[in-house]
Amino acid sequence: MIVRCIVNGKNVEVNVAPHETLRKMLLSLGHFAVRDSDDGEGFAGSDTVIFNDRPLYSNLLLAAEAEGATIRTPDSLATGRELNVVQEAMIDAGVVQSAYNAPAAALLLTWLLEKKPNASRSDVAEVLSGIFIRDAGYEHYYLAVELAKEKLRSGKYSSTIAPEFRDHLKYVGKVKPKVDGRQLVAGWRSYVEDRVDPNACSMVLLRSPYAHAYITKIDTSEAEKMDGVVTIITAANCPDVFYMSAGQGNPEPSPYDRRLFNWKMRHVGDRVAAIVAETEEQAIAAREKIVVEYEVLKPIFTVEEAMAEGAPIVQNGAAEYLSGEPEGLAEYNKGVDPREGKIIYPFPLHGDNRRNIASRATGAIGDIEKGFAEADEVIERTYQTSQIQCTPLEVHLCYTKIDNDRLVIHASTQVPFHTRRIVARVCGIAENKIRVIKEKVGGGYGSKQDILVEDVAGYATWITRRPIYYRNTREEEFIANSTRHPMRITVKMGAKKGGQLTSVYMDVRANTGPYGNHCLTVPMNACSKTLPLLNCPNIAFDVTTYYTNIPPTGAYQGYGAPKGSFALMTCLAEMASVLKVDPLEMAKINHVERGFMLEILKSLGEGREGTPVPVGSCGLRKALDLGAKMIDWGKKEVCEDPNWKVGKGFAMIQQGSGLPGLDHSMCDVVMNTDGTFMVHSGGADIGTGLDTISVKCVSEVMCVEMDKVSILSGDTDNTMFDTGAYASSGTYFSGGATLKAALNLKEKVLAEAALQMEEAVEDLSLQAPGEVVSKKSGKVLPYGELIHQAVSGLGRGQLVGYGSFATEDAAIPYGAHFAQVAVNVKTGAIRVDKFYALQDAGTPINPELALTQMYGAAQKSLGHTLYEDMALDEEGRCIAANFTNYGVPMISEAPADFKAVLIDENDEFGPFGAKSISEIATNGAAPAVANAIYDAVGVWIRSWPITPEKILREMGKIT
Amino acid sequence: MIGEFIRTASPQESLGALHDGGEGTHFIGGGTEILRLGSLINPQKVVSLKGLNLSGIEEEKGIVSIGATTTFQEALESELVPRYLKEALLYCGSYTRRNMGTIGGNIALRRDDSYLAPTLIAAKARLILGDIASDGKYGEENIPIREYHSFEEHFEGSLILKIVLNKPKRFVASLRYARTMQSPAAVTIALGADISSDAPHDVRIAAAIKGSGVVRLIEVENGIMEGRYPTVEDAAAQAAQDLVLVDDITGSAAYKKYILTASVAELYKQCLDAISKGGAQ
Repeated sequence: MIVRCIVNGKNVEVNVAPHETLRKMLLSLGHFAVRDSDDGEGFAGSDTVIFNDRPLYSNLLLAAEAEGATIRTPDSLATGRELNVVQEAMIDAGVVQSAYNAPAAALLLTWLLEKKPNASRSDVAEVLSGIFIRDAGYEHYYLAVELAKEKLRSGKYSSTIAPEFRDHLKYVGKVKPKVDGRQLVAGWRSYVEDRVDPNACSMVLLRSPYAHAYITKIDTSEAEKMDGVVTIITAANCPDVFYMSAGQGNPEPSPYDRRLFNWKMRHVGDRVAAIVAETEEQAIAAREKIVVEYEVLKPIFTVEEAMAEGAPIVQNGAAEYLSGEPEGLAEYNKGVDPREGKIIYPFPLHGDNRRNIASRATGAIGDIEKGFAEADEVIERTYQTSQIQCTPLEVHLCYTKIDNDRLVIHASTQVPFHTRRIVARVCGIAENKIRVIKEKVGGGYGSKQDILVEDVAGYATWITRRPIYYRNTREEEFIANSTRHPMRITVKMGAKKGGQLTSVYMDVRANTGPYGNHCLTVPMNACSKTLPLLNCPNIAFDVTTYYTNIPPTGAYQGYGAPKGSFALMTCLAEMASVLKVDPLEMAKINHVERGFMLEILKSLGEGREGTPVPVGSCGLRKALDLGAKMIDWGKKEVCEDPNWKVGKGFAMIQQGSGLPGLDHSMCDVVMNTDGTFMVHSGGADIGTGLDTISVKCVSEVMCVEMDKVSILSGDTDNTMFDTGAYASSGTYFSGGATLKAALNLKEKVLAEAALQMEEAVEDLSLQAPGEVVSKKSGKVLPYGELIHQAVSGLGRGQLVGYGSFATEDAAIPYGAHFAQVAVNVKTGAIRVDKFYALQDAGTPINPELALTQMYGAAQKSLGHTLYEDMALDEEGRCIAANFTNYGVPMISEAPADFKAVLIDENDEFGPFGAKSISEIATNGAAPAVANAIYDAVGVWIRSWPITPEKILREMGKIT
Repeated sequence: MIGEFIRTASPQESLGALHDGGEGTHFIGGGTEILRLGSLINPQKVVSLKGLNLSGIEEEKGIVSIGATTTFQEALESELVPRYLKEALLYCGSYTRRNMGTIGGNIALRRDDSYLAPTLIAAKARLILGDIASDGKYGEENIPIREYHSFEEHFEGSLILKIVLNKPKRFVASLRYARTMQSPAAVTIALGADISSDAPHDVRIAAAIKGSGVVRLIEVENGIMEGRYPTVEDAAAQAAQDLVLVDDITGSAAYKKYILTASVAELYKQCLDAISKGGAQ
């Protein structure tokens, strides 16, 4: 049927099918910034348009309903290169990060200000109530609107965007527009989906309906005859290669227990077959024709079930070792069922797959038994954390094609180089045959550290030579992705009457689900990013990770730390309560400070011995003191309504900045032939502003404006190796490499200038706006002239700086999060009224982005603490596989008083004194809120999510 | 998959198209349910209500009429809509969805986490329905909304045209319990009563309970009207007595029972407070 309407001021006439949604129609008209994050759930808002002057979800409207309508899409906001005032304000406020629905948010806020030029905070909250922001949180959206209002009113901003740092620096520590902010907020082509050739094939996956089963028969013959089918890949015809999806340093501290397709299904949603066809409809139709028969096995879902004597075994294949093979392996592998596949350990992880144990680790300092004997009080508490989905707005997807007889992967990944290595292993080809191009990443949060879609799409393209587009559905994001490991953590703690800890023991039992990606490192992180906060002389830990049949787990922002932090910091508060010591005083008595030697780190390496280092820069005490002052610690607040009781809590937090001794980043900086600069960074900016950090480093060193520096990052053909964006490594490692490259280039520029100017290097320096100056002669050589002479016939060639960054030095970020909650004693309802996140990030290179990452991460962790729940039924099916049922926090769940504060603490190792910022911010909410709830109503809730029902049960109101 | 999109210009035409379309034919108003991921409705044909001019809000002699395709947001922006209904309209936490979802659509869906049904039942709302009788003639009827919920099959194929509210002297309040603003509610409950005298009468208590549907707590209504409960807690104790409650993602059956009980106590108390203050909301 024909629909006539006006789109962005133009009359259009479109032939649409009756079932076609408005979004589909708009895509066909080229409005690709109308995106989709929820498959038409009407939740995330990436598909928002203004329809007859009202915001609507275009996925929930039939195109046929658009007859006579006037429609505005996000790409209408910019005029050519010129962004509108709201788009500019969003960049300046730091909310344009992974930005998958930033264009939609810009459209909504533009529309709001057209209607209400003096829009209030509640107007903003109302309009943004239908849009899900996972990365930056919502707080700076209010600021963006204020900035836009100011600009519209007076032509300039009067609000302070963020504090600035280091007066002697011009770019670092200053509020500057994110270098990719314009393209992201405007909705220009940025993401994988924007690169797909319209003629590309489509791939869909057939997934297991059973949590634990063998495939006894699979018949694809009818499906293969279907129109458009290119290939179908199953366990019967895929490479017999075992590998690991975790994008970690090589050798990976995870077992190779995955195959593209297996004969055994280990979770609901496990891969059964990949169907590649000319169109998505054809692929889906062919999927229906595949006949699969299963032998269903008893599944297990919890650590307790996995530990039980005689429990079903999830991974019962033959174990192999690439190094460190244990004695008796042949006996161990006797009689295994070949359908189980195998497990290859790059090195021993102390797993025992016959007992469902994926990995184990243990460590200690001092003598914990002696410490417990010396204690006046000893308590032992067990805490349970739940499975949490990362929920990036852009689902996992990739576009693969053949170019120049090589496999090209357009990926939304945090780890382009690990992706290349792992896909090469799967395809059985060398790395030089593969190019991975990291496109803009519409949200990763750890889940895109795993190679979850590139392996199968890459292999399918390699064998068919066809371009293939694959995109997870939102449901697949929940059931077949990577998630936070559920953990059961027991903490035993001993302390003197005055509060001094004498001994701490953590027993971490983690649930890795069907596969062992990150099975050692995430659970170890629960210890390694929490125990070193304490200056206790006797510490020990045991970490055991179990296979089960829950949906897969993996990396998630914070890694294991949020779970360890929940257990350890809540237990510390519980101990304070037992001792009748103020929890804040107890924390101050027991936290580490600069110079304290972190001996515990020796036991906390990632599969090998770690390196003890002293605490370096540490803003922990400052964060505690300032946070306590802000929240008026010690003052009991009272609500007018006697049903609401108010409590306060806090937690000390830390993280790391990459993995010293393991991570490695490289970068080169080229001086272009006009004296501008091109940075080639191996680092993977996933929206956090890493590219902006690199550009700032070069601008600072070379004394040029940021628009004279461009960057290409995360392209395996055109940048050098970088371990990738995980473990909070971006600023420290990738930024560190760029700084080294810039300094290297500076040396070369000065040396070249010395030759050209016939002066001594010592007499030369760089100055703005991009020139070499001699303090001796006063002569000036602009970069443009310098490079022209270097590359024009008789010169010495292009000037390129090279930086390789690896270190044993740790730049540990610290902080404290404070919460004030109100709990309704009649209904158990919980309201987070205040949340203050105070963090020491060293020198925040991008202060406005640092703040918004803190807001985003803190809001995420409030979600984990209070709402989010990947509930499974008794068969292992996720019954919350969409945003609505799963329960992500939106603007309505943001604390009314929400503050992020950067504690100024220069670091001696990071680039310009910087440390990491974002991951640490996921660690504080759970213990801070749990402790505040206890303060309010006197009950400890020791499991996620902390729901009203749990509070009522603990209060004895529900039995 | 929708194979046919039918535009109509009058309720009569719409009902005719629905009838002629046969099984698998549905009205489409805001679209927030029919096209929604996970919707249980999988229509082959849809009859658009857009051209029927069913939206709009009017008041005459204290009677407020709300057109069925009025969106939640349009109703919220109207000065004619009573505050208690606005409270319920805001239970739909997404502004964008409120701009799409229609009041008639929400009623017609009869969801077990309905935003509006408890409040409208408590308010003694009436529905104007259009229908085609067996003789093929178009007719309209005015029914209490409680009947629409109680005799679902009887109104199958009817078209909600208007929602009618009588404003004066009625206390109506509601409570909703969900993990987040946009999570499905475990319980949404409303209590309405005529408070023009010293004691509540003409009491209506209705709850949308996840897994159990929209129910009226008739025993409690009668008990309150008959003055059987000396305290609000006595009334509350009766609240969940005969209900079949289930465990689900919103909470356990025990939680729902507790919340129902606590909510009846709270709403009844608010009602008595309103009487003691001598006025209705």
